[in-house]
Amino acid sequence: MKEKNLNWLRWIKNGQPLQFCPSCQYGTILRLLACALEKTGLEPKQVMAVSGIGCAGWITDRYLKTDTLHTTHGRPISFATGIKLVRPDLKVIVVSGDGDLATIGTNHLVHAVRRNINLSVFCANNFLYGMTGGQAGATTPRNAITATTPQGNPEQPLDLIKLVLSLGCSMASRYPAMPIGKSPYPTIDAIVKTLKHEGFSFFEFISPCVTHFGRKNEMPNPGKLKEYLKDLLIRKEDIASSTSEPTPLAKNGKLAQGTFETLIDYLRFTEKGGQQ
Amino acid sequence: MFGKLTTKENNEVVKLEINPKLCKQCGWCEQFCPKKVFGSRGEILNAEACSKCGLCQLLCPEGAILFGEQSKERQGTIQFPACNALRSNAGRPNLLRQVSREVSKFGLGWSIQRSLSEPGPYFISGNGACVRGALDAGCQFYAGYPITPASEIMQDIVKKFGQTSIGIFIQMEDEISSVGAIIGASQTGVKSMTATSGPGFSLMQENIGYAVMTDTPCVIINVQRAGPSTGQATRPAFGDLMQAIWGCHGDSPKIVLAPTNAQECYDLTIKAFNLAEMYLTPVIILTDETIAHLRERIEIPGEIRVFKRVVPIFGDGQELTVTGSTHYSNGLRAASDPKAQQDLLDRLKEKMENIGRHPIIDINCHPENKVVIISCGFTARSVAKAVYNLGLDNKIGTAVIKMLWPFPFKEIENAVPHRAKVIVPEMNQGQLIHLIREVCHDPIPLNQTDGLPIEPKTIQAAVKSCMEKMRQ
Ligand SMILES: Cc1ncc(C[n+]2csc(CCOP(=O)(O)OP(=O)(O)O)c2C)c(N)n1
Ligand code: SF4
Ligand SMILES: [Mg+2]
Repeated sequence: MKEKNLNWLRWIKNGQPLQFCPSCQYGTILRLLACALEKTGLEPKQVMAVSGIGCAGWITDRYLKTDTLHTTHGRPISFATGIKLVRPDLKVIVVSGDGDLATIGTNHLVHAVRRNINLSVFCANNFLYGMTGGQAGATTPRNAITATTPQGNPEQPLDLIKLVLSLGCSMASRYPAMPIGKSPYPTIDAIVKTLKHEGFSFFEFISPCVTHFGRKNEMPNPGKLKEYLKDLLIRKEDIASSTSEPTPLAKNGKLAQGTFETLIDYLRFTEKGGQQ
Repeated sequence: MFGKLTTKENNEVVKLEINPKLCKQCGWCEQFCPKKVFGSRGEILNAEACSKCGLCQLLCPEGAILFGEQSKERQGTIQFPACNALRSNAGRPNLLRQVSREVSKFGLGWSIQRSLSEPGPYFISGNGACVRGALDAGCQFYAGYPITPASEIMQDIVKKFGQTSIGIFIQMEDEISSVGAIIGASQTGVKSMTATSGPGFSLMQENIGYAVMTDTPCVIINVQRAGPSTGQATRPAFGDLMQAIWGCHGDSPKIVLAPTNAQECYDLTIKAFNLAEMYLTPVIILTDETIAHLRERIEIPGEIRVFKRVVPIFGDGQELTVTGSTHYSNGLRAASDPKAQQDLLDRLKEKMENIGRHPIIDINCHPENKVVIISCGFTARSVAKAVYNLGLDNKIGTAVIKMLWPFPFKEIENAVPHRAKVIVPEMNQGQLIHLIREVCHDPIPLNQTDGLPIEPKTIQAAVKSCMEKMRQ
């Protein structure tokens, strides 16, 4: 499939360079979102993007050509809840970081899923706090070196897909921001599905921070990062046939890639080689 | 290294171009291009191999690869809609006046509304009066979290919203998200409020500061109870005065109102919504457990003047950019520009100065006064009773401050005679007195922190001993 139609570019504000580090994948997340939004048939005025604080909070603020609200650290879901209640006709999306949505803001994520508020939440998981200099967070893989875990992270990371599914979320996806396979189109299709879903939907982009996570963990460039992601992620179709060996940084196994609708669904795919 | 390349295949011309202003030489294109057209630093090595799949244009994080004919991406200057500028300039009276004249024909700006309840006398608590005031002012969104002694406000408003089917209610998971939700709702165009007490008010501070920064109208009622920490949940205090005025980090001025009885709970709640909408700012109403639970007679008028916001809201298709980071008047984030920071703070300060031109204070002073008692909240009623009991006609003056911020420095300075002694009774260890010291010489504190209201006789005793000392 080729993307010759460039109408999706109308979702991105013209004329400004992005403020992310070189090799950061957040710019690509912006583009994938724009492409998927175009495919949903929505118009920019029907969409409202809410983000929190962190590098990931900048993916939409300033750059997405819709109404944008750049909120406080950890709280974008609560602002989005207020907006969605007043304007149920708007498509309200939340785009923010792993630290924002799933460490300081986990409480709000949990309750938004429980309430089944009709939001699409996109988490840009770069495995740590990028903006503040690369400290470990709730999603940092076991043994990873970060600014606050110089000996390796001793804590167990949070599996966000398992978390939201266990709370009753009926659409949760995990994909890398940069395609590690042949094409990004399955990712875009999954984003479209997430956006079109009735009820709370969750999407996790795996997009390791090259500056802080990559450099400290022997993958300072896109080539090495891609190898790492190829090792870390396993498509749900491939799980049955894999003989998954633990990868160096994800000692407890691999992360399943795909779209999941129930916890049982997820566990069935991940019981073999999945993160336990 | 960079540049244009044109490949020819079946006589079809394809342009492949890298914008050197945007390319950060990160090397992702080398990874994702299936035909290995790019090198590791974004250089085009092998244009002939290009199969025109367009992946590079889609995936390049910087949008630096221009492919095919649509090469216009990220060129030219950014155009931010004027509506952002209008938002951040509201609170400047000239602009407001000009705008409200234009919009009055659309039902925005000032209008006269009928009250929801039948006009006439009612016998209700301060909390109940706040709810009626909010509804009559047009509040349509409430998000909150239970806490004594404020919970009745939430319980009452959800019932009223149900009866009239005009409002949206949500019980949030904490006070942080309660303020988040009312800011979201408010930016989407509806009048919004929440209510809490000390512990919840402390949690709210960060998002209240966000509302100041983003010019978001909203009303927050703090029914004060005895602290610190959990303290005594069913006992009154006035210990949050400083926090209400200066609680958030950074200079973040906002309006603080303090009613003294149920009637004022009603009136000042309406005022709070009007000020919030006019000046685009959060307004905090400080009551306490005594006012909140004391049932009194109030009079509801038939017609109420309400103000409806005149600036753009979310969902209008205007591409509003709203951020709590420092921003220019067009809404664009300004991460480190000193001028942007200075301008923004100046503007917030100017907004407060404009509001301060209309102070809310009851002054009852006379040049002959020997003693002036300055108070706020429920304590003002004990002061009134004490003055009445003492019966010393011209000797005692009073000032009751109902808008605590912007603080009526000028009004107090002008009203209090130079030779008079000032007494400041408060249900805390001394907070209001710090502000009074700015304009009055050596005021006398009268603090009570046992979780009970200050009784008139306590104030009478203080006045007497003060007068005695003056005589000596
Ligand atoms: C209440 C509060 N605490 C701490 C911070 C400092 N802070 C800013 S960004 C950030 C981390 C963001 O991490 P994440 O959400 O993962 O985004 P990333 O930068 O990794 O994309 C922190 C802790 C803050 N802004 N507010
Ligand atoms: S610090 Fe990490 S997440 Fe933030 S912009 Fe740089 S690479 Fe991206
Ligand atoms: Mg992060």
